[in-house]
Amino acid sequence: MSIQETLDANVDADVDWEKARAILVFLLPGLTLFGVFSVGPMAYSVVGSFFAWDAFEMGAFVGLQNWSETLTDPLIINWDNLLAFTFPMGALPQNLLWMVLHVPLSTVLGLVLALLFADLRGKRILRSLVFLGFTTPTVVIGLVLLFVYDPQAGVFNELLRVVGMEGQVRNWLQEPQIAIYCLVAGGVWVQTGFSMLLYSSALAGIDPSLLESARIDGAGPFRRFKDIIWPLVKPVTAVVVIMGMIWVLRIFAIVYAAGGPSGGPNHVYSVLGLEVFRAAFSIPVEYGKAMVVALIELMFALPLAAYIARMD
Amino acid sequence: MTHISLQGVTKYFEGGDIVANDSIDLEVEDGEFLVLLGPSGCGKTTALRLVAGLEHPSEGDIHFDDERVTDHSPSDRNVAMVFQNYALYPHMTVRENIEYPLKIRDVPPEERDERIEETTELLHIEDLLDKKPAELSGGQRQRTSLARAIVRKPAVFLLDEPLSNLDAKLRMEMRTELKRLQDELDVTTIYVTHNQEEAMSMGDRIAVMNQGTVRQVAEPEELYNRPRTTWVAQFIGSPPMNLIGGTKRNGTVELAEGTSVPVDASSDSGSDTDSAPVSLGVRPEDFSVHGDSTDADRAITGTVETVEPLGEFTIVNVDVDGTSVKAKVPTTGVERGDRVHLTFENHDAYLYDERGELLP
Amino acid sequence: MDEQHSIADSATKTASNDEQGLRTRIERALPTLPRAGRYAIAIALALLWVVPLIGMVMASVRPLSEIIDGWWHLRGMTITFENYREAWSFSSAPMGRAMLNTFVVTVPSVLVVTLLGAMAAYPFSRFEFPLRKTLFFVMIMVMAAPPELVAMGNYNTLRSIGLFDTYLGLILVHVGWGMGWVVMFLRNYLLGLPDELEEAARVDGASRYQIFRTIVLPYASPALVSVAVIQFTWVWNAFFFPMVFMRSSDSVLAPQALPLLKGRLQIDWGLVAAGSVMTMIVPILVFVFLQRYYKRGMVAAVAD
Repeated sequence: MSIQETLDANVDADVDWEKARAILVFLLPGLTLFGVFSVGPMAYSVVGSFFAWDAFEMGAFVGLQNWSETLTDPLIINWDNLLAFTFPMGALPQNLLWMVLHVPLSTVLGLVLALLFADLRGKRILRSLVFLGFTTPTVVIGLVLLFVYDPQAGVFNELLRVVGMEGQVRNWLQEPQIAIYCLVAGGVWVQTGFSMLLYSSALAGIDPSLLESARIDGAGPFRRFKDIIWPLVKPVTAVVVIMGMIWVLRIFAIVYAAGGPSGGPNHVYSVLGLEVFRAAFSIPVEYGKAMVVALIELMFALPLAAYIARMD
Repeated sequence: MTHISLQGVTKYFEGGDIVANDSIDLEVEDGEFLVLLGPSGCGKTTALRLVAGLEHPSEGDIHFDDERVTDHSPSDRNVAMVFQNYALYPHMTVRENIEYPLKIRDVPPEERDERIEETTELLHIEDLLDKKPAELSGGQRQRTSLARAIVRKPAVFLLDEPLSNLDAKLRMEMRTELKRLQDELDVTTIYVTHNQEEAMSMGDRIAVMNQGTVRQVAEPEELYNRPRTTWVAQFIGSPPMNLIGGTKRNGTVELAEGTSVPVDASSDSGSDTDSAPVSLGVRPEDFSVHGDSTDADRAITGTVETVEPLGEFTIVNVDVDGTSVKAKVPTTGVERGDRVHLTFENHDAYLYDERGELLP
Repeated sequence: MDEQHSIADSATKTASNDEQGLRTRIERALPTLPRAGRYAIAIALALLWVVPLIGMVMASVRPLSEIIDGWWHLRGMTITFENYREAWSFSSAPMGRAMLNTFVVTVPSVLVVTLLGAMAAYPFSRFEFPLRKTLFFVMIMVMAAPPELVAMGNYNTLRSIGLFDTYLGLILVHVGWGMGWVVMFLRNYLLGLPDELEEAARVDGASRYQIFRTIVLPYASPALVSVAVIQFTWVWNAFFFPMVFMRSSDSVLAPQALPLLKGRLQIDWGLVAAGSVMTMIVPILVFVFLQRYYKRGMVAAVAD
């Protein structure tokens, strides 16, 4: 009934009821599931972040208490360590540090590989090899990193041994001040495949005659890149960057697999997702805190969503 | 079969900001081939879509015979439509495309096969049945789309600029073929086009539309011979009818610089002493061009601006007191800069009043 | 970039049948030094990229002692499938059961979200209706939002309707969560469906539902495959949702079971590697065989 009223109010006087009914039939099943399992829980988290929680039961309204407690929690932001730039700095700064390193590196590497492969024979196989990591489950990526950095069985330490840096061999993921960079490298390893794929398809769309005419005009390789290739692949960069940021915001399985639910020794590479998981689903259950941390993640995602919406 | 009647049909878009059709009254006789002719954006396609049921009129009613179909969906109207881009379903073969309306209407398979065979023979596309639309040429797509419309044996046949995407030669061919089909099938047909040649050659009657309204409905010959408004007069014929401004007084029309032309037509109208501004209309093909002075009653004098020989005929552009007048003649010896006299017969002259209406 | 040869490349494309084209083609077939160098770098990089994964595969087929010595030592290599056998029936997280569970969750999740997503995308691409713009933005927001945000609400919902720790519960969560991007993706695709096709079908007598089934779905089939392939890899690879909603050892999914294979003190790399290979081989095969749809979908999903 209320739906009909809204329809009435919004559509021209001559509402086509047959069409309106069809629209409802098409929309309703999908939107119901979307509402119940996506939008509803999101709203629930927003509301719940202002209430006290007794395990999974919502209690009294407490205003910003969850927020202030969470933001002063050293697991989320450890101000002292942050100012001294020693780990653990808290999940929020660590997550942001990850983003700041991961996104530019994977973007640039993706572009470099796309350009490198662009006109080689067998480029499809080369690309597939690089892209393989992105189709691999992230939990496997985490385990692979654990394996790579293993002091005995890890290929990274073997590399150090081969180049004569025997003294540097160690369990890299147990080194508080270094571990996160080792994981970021792993993230870049995976994400580069994705940005390379997008850049490759953008490069494939460039009309070769453009490059030819630029060459006839006397442009060298650098100028050709700057004047022709870059302007044409620039829009893709926005997409690559946004997707990279969303990927880092959601990071969970890699960290969990490499360092367990605590996010490494003394939480040195914990991220926001991990904090939500521990707050909500390990004893003691802190639903309020979990919701606040998840909402902090959302706040970083919202501008990205707004940007995507504007692109459309 | 079916008589279509539109009564005061109006269609607004965007909450009334755009009036696509303004109070259209139109009767299409049983088995008639009616052409909706007009420039792009005149509302002819909207009118067709209203008849199809793809749009719902904002005001007014549409009847098929005695049945009010205004609120019927397209599927309940038993109309078939051919679209400008053919609208063939890309994922279906030619056979599946033609079969589709039958399948939707639960026609039994044996009968479907029979009718598909019949229709494809009629349109000479029996060999294309297993091809996908992407493999067809423009003309073949056109035929497939016609077949899909015909196979249903619809009560009304609606065609929206069906020939506009074909090349000139094919268009001529299909024009003849469409006319033959319509004669054979004898289905009430509404045909939308902006091409007057198509309209003149195919239509039993033509409804000329402009700015959402029907300006004149008439048989092709009448439309050519008695265009009721200056707008219609200038829309029909190529090049369009010349219109020369003047004043009507005492049975003559005084054009600028003292040229006056006697007109009989107005002798019966009110008071002869009144003068009124009028436009004198003469079709280019009704002029004769004379280099020497002439003793004809009706002559306009001017200077030749350009001569365009087009083979079959020649177009002479003459400057008459600042108005450019076109004459279409078989051959001519005149040249640029010559003083010429343009003569015409009384029955070839049309007078339009200030509002552009034909004077009796 | 090596200019001479990138140009030679485009020249062969444009002038392949004349003499110059032939010459450049011969030139290209015999790599000169800079070009050979590029090949070498490219191949080296691509191989470097898969070294960690190769290590996993090697470890999965070797006994633990050899792994600890370094999987890259090929001398005296023993190939064994013992790791696989053991992982398949590992006591606290049997991979056999976990793989089955993952299939049981993934397949319906993908089919349902593809079908319902296509249904919802159709009106979004075609018709005006109230709240359209709002819903549109909400979907984009969900696309960017972290899954953690819906975990608490869904946990309570599934508990209260008795679907916690069940296949159906996890499937519903996956479907609801995937709906946003699937609808957006298919809507963008369906914007390309010409209006006349639909109108032709209506005049031909089809109802809205018949049009959807006979015109819209077949038209969208390449996009549907893309959606299904991408959604398959995402649901299959998903780690967070199963961690939250699947708890009993019978209902654990494959990605979830992997960390359990690590063991307590000494990591048993052979087991972890065998489990990982089993888990990753499925999305990788899907990617390899349906690459065309996967790539096209990835590019279209984000590039619109």
